[in-house]
Order: sequence, then structure tokens, then C-alpha cells
Amino acid sequence: MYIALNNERIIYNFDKGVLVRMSGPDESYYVEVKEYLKNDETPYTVESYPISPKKSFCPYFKLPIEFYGDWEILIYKYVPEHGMNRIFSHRFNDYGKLVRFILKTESYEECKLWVKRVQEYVRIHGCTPIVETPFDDINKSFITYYNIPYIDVYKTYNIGRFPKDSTDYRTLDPRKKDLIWFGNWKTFWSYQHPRKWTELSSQEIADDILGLS
Amino acid sequence: MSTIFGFYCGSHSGCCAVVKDGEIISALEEERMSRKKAGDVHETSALLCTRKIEETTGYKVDNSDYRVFVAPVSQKYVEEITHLDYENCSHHDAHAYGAYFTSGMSGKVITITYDGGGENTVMKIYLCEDGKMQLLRQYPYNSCGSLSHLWGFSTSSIMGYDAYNEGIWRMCKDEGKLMGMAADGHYDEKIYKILNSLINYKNLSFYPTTTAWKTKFVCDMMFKDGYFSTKEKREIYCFNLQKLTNDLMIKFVEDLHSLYPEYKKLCFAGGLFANVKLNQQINELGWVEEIYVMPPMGDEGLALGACIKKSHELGEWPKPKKLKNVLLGPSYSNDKISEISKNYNFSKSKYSAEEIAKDLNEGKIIGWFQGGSEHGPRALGARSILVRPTDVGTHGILNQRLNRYETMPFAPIVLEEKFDEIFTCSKSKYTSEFMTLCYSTKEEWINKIPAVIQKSDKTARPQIVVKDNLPKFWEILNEYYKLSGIPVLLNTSFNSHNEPIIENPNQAFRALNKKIIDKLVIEDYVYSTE
Repeated sequence: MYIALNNERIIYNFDKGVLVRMSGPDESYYVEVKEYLKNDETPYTVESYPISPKKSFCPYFKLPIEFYGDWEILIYKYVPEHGMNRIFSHRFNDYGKLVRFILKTESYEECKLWVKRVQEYVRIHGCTPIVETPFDDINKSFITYYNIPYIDVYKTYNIGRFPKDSTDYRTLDPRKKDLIWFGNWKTFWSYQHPRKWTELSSQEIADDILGLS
Repeated sequence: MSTIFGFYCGSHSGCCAVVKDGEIISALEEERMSRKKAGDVHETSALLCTRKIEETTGYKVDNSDYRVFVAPVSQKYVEEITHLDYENCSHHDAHAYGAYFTSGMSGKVITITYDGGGENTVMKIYLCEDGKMQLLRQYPYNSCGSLSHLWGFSTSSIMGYDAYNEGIWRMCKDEGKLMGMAADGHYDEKIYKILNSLINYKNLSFYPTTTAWKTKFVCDMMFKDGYFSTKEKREIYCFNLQKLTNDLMIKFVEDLHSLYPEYKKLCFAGGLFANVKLNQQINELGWVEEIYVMPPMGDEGLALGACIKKSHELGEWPKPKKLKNVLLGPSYSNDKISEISKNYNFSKSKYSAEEIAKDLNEGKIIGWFQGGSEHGPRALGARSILVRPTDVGTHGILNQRLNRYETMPFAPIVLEEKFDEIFTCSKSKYTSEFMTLCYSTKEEWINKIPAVIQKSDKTARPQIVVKDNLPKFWEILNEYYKLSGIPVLLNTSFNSHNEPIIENPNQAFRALNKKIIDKLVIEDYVYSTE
């Protein structure tokens, strides 16, 4: 997604997590991602930090969480007379947009079960699905065929069983396991699952990732 | 009948405490042993202070009935201390129980805890009555702005950064300097607006969220724009920071009062309430009957709070009671001190209050080492430096000897019996036994005790000395009063700049040896280099 403001140009998407790239006259901008939980209109900050588009250190914002969240992106700039001014906000809304679902299972039966959950997601969100599975007959049953190159999707969901991220700081230093860190506030099992998939049924795994549980 | 050990080993201010049968046996901060101030370390164990408490009290962790660790708990540090079972205690519960159950307050009380985000929460509010606490509201870190963040990140930015991009002043350590500087600044609409864009208040909510890194971002920008380039500019910034803090918190407390008008007593804990100017503003609200700030109000008080909570749950600490004093650290016998003193070539004489009062009256700087060390950030009559309060020049001399910044104000101790003659407000005297409140000074006293009065706003942060609670401290003050007609002495913490308050006699002797002090009163003897 692309938007041009007065002086700033912003590219953002939720494809593989939240990504914000931008250009503008300022040296730094401050990006924040909040999440709205079910039945709660209080926004909870998930991650925030400044980016410096013109520099090699931290030129863009990335939050690698891939499962569903009702995310909101906010961008601020510092105005010497007023302090922090919000210049842009966008809340996750995939209505009418292309959303890619990649179902990573070798079981045909499980794939069919997950497709049903994808259809439920599509019904709720009103998005246009692109479905990729190892099974051609399932792929072809969707209007939009999967094998289209360079397509600009709003969001991609990988549905499967993914191991705990090796880059997660909690796996690197066990001493820091329970210490508070500014930023991430949920105890993520990984960036791809909100909960431990080893304790979930097949349908629950898909529902967890798609925010249907 | 139980022995309870409490521990906190979080990101700063590690500590240990032990409570037996509802009585505090001992409490000690890790920084006193490690000699690294909270703020200089961002992961701290509680191993050294635990071992010291075990050594001096005879109580052992492994023989205790209960062991309670305050969240966030790091397994690594737990294993350093004990391999036995332990319980967890919520961070803000430890703050709140510590405050309410040492307040001695009866009737309806609101307890508020507020810090930078201990255990993912910035603030909790409890309604308390007759030993019962009910959680009213809590403010998660990620959905609520924090004034503590604003202070912390302002502190680390205001003097610029070192070669490692660390703030020259450190958060969790140097915030008091900003508060001291604030008194000399003035209102600046632009700065106030900028700070207000970081945090605001409405309907019992502080917003927006993520004040931590956002504050750092703005402070970095302000640093580049030259807002901190001179002493005067820094003072203006600090004034507006203090003003915003007061404005938002007063609105918050007033809103709370309009919801619960029958609650007129307030208990506070958490780092924000180390801010004595804020506490003063709240104390001066007309409807407030009394406020109390836990003496170790920051995370250094968590271990004690956790012990008190457990003790309360066991029925051994059923209702709030008053602390006699907070000299809860290790103490040393005359024999032990005498043995240590052999390493130095000092003259030694028997302590006489009259003689020391005479020295004080002559302008000598006296090191004061008595009993167990204080628990918390203030020197309250166990590890203090005492000086007469009558000279403006004392500030400069002391700062030079202690290698401190002149922005740090000095505080008075005052005889309980004379407090009302000198200071204007007479509420919340109990909490002032622990130096947690500022008061305005009466006009006729401002010129008599200039060394302990904030030059610009004429306030002071007095410690009320009660005869029954600190008899020896009261005695020296009274003797000085008899000689000078002034019931006040300057009391500053016994440490050099950037160091924690001293803990053992050796550290006191070293200060005497370096001529930081002129004489050292240590238990029943006086040491000097003469």
C-alpha cells in the first residue's frame, strides 16, 4: 500500500508482519503498532521505535508477527513547536483486498479442513483470497489462482506448524526469559503462532493464526 | 509464626528482606553491597544483600518458612539464592502492601502505586480499609502512558551522551537532580506543549501509550535543537517537566476523589513518588487528611513489600502499623568497629553529644554512623553527614568535598517539637520522618537556615526527628539547638557523588581518611584525624 502526504511518501503492508517504509524531509520518524483485542476498544502498543529513512541504521519499521491481529500503524514526526504530531494512521482492514493463504500441510484432509477456515475468514473480512496448497484441485477451486507473480497482497497468512523462532530473544538468553523488555508485550511462542501449536488441534491451529478462535 | 524471606532481582534495585512473626527483622538493597548504584546496572541479583542479611541476623534462607520473589522473576537469579520452593508476588502488589501496611492508617485509604512499568503495569489503585485491600484499577504498560518514563528518559538525555551512547546522567538514579533543577526554572509554553504531546491525562487515563521510547525520541530531538545546551535551559526544561507531572497527577487524584469522596487518606509507592515536590502538591490539597509514602518507595522496597504481603496473608500482619524507623540494614558492634579502626591512624574519644554539638556549631562536618543502615534512598540518621544549616556557603563546601553537583539540594532534620514553628503545613508528619515530602518554610526561618532551603521556592524536604524513634539522633539535634537556638541540622547522605550510601565502618573510615568529613561519630566513639 502506498500513500503520499504533503512531504512524506509511505509504503506499508501487513504481508509478512507489519512493514513501514517511508521517505520525507525529516531525519527521523516514530512508528508505533498497536493492537485492538476482541471486545476491547483500548489500543495496546505492541512495538514502537524511531526510524531514520535516510540512514543505514534502522531505515524502516518491521514487526515480524505473521498471525492475525487487529493492528493499527501510527506514524509521528517531531515538530519543534508542538512536540509529537501524528501524520498517519492505518488500522488493519482487508475488506476487498487481496489476501494470500499458504496452507502448509501434506494431509489432504487437513488441507480441506483449513480451507473451510479460510472461507470463514473470507466471509468475515470480505477479502479476496489467493490460496496456495500442495493440492492443485483445491487451489483451482478458488477464483483467484495462486500462481500469479509480483502480486501486491495486503496480507499473507502461513498456516502450518512452525517451530519456535530461533531469532526470538527469549531463545537466545534464557536468563532474560521473564524480564521485562520494552516493546513486545505478549509472550509469543513464535512470530507465526500466537500460542503453542503442540497443544492445539488442527482446526485450532488455523483458527489461532487467522484470529478466528 | 513464620519466617519469610522476600527478594527482588529485576532490572534494577535488587533487594532482600526478612520478616518474622509480623515484625521486620532486616531489609537491605543490593547496591549497598555491590557498591553499584541502581541505574548503573540493568540486571541485578539479590545475592550479596541476602548473604549479608543471613550473616548479620542469623536467619537463613534455606531454613525459612516462606520465600517470596517479586515479579519479574529471573530463574537464573533465583537459583543463585535458593533451590527451595518459592512463591511469586506481583510487582505492584509488593509496592502497595509495603506502603499501606506500614502507613499506620486506619479507616478508608486509597493506595496508589506508579512506576515505569514493573511487570507490564504502570499503575495500580487499591481501596483499603481496616487491613483489607481491594484492587480498583490497573493500568497496563502497553495501554497507558507513564510519567516515570518521562522522568527516566529526560534524565538520560539532559546532559547528553557518552562515547557508548549512554546518558551521562542515568535513569533510576539521577532523577532527583532534575527535580532539584526544576526549582530554578520557569514556565515555557513551548516546552510544556512538547512534553504534553508525550503524555496527557483525561478521565483517570494517562495517554498516549509507549511514553518510553517516544520520550527518548523527543528528548534526542530537543537535545539536537539545543534545549539542554546551557544550565539555564536545562532548568527551564526541568521546571516544565515538574509542572506537567504535578498538573496531571493533581487532576488524577482530584478525579479519584470525586469518585470516592469518603477516601481522604492516600498511600503511595513506586518510583514516581520519590518526587517530593509532587508529594507536597498532593499533601496540600484541601481535602487530603494525610498522605504516606513508603520510605523505600522505589523497587528497593519490593522485597519488604512482598514479605509484608505474605505476612498479612498468614494473619501475622493483620492491619497497618507504623514503622519506628527504617534502620533495617546490618549494624556493627563497638568491638568490631574498633578492630577495623586499627587499619587507620585516627585519634579516638568517647562520644559526647555536647562536644559534637559544639563542633557542629563551629561549622565542622560530622560523619554520623549509628545502628543498622537505612532501607531506602534517604539517609535518616544511620549513615548521615551532619552540618550546621546556618551558612549559605555550606552548599559549596559540601559539594566540593562530596564531589557533587550543586543542583542537588540538601535537606534538614528538625526536632519534632519545633516542626510547626518552622514549616507551614502540619499534615502528614509521619511520612516526614522519612523525608518523603517537601514543605514551605515560614518567612522568619528562611534566612536562619539558608543551607537547607531551596533558594528559589523556599521549600525544604525535612526529616522530623522523634525522640522515641531515634533517641541518639534527637539528642545531638537537641544539643545543637541548646547551643544555637536552631532546632535544625543539615543532613545529607553519607556517600560521595555517584556512590550508594555507605554500609560498613570501613567505608566511613575511608571518608574520614580522605578528609571528606572532619570527625566521625560511629556508635559510641568519635574518630578524627587530629
